[in-house]
Amino acid sequence: MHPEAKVTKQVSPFFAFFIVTVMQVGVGIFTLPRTMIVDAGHDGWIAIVFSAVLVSIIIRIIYAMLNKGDTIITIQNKVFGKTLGSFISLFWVFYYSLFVLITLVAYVEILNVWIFPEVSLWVLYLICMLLAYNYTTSGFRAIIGGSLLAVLFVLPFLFFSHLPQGQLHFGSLFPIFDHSLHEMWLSTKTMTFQFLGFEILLMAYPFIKQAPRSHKWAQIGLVFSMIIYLIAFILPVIYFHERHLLTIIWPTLTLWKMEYIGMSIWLLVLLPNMAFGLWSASRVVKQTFNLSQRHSLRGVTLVIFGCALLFTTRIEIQSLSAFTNRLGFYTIFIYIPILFLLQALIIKRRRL
Amino acid sequence: MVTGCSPQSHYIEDIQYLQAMGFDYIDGEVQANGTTTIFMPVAESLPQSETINVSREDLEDLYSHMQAESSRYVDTSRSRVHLFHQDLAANEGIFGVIDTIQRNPMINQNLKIAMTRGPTKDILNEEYPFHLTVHEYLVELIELNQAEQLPIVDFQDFLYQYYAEGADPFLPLLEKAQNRVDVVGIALFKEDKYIEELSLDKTHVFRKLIDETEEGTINIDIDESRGFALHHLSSSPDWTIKQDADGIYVKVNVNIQGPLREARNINVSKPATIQQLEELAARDFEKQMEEIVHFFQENEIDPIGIGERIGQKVRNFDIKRWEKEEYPNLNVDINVNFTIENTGAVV
Repeated sequence: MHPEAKVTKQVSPFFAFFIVTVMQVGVGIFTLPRTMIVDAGHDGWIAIVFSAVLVSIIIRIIYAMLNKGDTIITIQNKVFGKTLGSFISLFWVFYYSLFVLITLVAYVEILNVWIFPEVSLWVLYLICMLLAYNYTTSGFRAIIGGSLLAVLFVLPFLFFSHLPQGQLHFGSLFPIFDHSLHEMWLSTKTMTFQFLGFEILLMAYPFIKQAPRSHKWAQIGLVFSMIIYLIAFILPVIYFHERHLLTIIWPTLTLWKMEYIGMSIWLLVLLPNMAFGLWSASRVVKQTFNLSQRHSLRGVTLVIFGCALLFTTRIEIQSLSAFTNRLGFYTIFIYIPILFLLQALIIKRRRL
Repeated sequence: MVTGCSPQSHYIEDIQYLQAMGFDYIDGEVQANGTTTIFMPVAESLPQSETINVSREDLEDLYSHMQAESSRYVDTSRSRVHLFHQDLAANEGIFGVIDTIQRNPMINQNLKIAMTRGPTKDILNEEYPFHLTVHEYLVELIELNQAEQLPIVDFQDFLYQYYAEGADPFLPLLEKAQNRVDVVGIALFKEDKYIEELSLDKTHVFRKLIDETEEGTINIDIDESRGFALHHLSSSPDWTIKQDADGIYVKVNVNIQGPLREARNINVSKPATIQQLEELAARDFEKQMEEIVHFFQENEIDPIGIGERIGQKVRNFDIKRWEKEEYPNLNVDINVNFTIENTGAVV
């Protein structure tokens, strides 16, 4: 029943790299050093690596699942039946939209504090959402193109950081593993939020040519984001004192030599990021309810814009990201493996 | 509608850049002074300076009160130097001001900070020969002296040491002379309060314990008629911390090398003499360094950051307790290796 994606709309397998990277390295990188240091302190980098290993396993599971199904929607319909499957698909609309919302809100908050204190929030929300909407209407391949540009041109800007000789305290990284396993686990949980976004693959899979071959590229994308996160974590840790770092909301920005330019250019990373989210959310609606994707996209965009207006203070934004964090964690590490097992069971039973 | 949404714009000719700030403590009240620069729209004209003084108890609306003194838009993003009066640092502490600066993303965080003996107002109001503006003069003064004899410390270093449990901050100490400003040493802090000062000679030795240095001069007198001096000394400290059953053992190896530039009544052509001089210089440094460490221990401050260094080596180390109970009696093993690289252009 699902519409087979046309070859003209597909992309080569290695673009899975850009999908994964651009989705993972989003707006979270600016707060990453502080959130990681809360529990695991200077050992946060271990949590980053550990978290990446866990996510790598999940990506493997997702590919194993998609190789036998096509998108998360068809899999759910097969496993739970049409009615319940469609109902659960609604969750994915919510899930993808939530990620667009948190990116939008977190980015606009930075813009508001650092660059445009005089501009009211809704103006910034409107500009970002309009751009993301335009991006999405140009189609999947256009978003892929955008993410390629973002990875190649924008991420290198991160290297223009303050690295004054004599002010880097490499000793701050020692002693290694000075925190309890429990603290490490808490940090690993926090870190998974940063690695989320690759779930777009659950919808984008049919749009990749010879999709099973793109698994390798998705894993390379994960390793690439992990390296970027490691750099983004270690630099502030050796520059600021740990107790000082805890008080800085966006350490990456404070350390960045070109924070004003960089922050504006960062929109180029976030646009494909949000566009992928919008695209997936509207795609789920289309596949489940046979609505035109253009209409559902408009609906989703409007709802996200409306919700964004409700978030104005730091505490609200923090609780939103904490909620997203928890939801993402359970979806990825509990729901996806269970779905995978159920799918395997059903396929086995059919063969018998 | 578009103009209504766009942020305020400012033209460079209309902006008064706040570039050097000073905080005084007069009759129990904080007084802030700012030196501003105005770029004149006339071609080939030099930027002009003006000093604004405001006395405010709370620093939060300091900038709006600065604005009230000027007809032009006062821009804080380009400030380069912040000075603190000794009385303020000793009575109230300076973290209040520092925190306001770090909280404001519109202020460049790449700042120099220093403490002054007299009121900062006197320093900021003076005109200095050969220099266009006061802030340039102060920045260059501090930067050059940090290359030559002061330990390198700026805004970020102060914050690092302030937040660190096992280290205490220090700042360059400035004093106003006729029409110039002198660097007289460093001011030592406990948390954010000024405690003691270290003279320039001792500062010179002190920085060899914490920084890798490239420049510097040392003069050693053997007796009244004989002595020698060395220039361009480069040095690097190497801290070793070991934990065994008896407790924590702290050792520092300092390697110093440099060329001999001055020898008064000494024949330096013999290698044996050079060796003797090296030995002499090494013992001299060791003695001075030990004195400095004892001086810190007596005052219960740790500008070297020994506690911090131990914390990076020893697991589950309670820095706070250690600084209180064991630091004052800690025995630091200081060892200096001195190498005279050459004797200059003559034998």
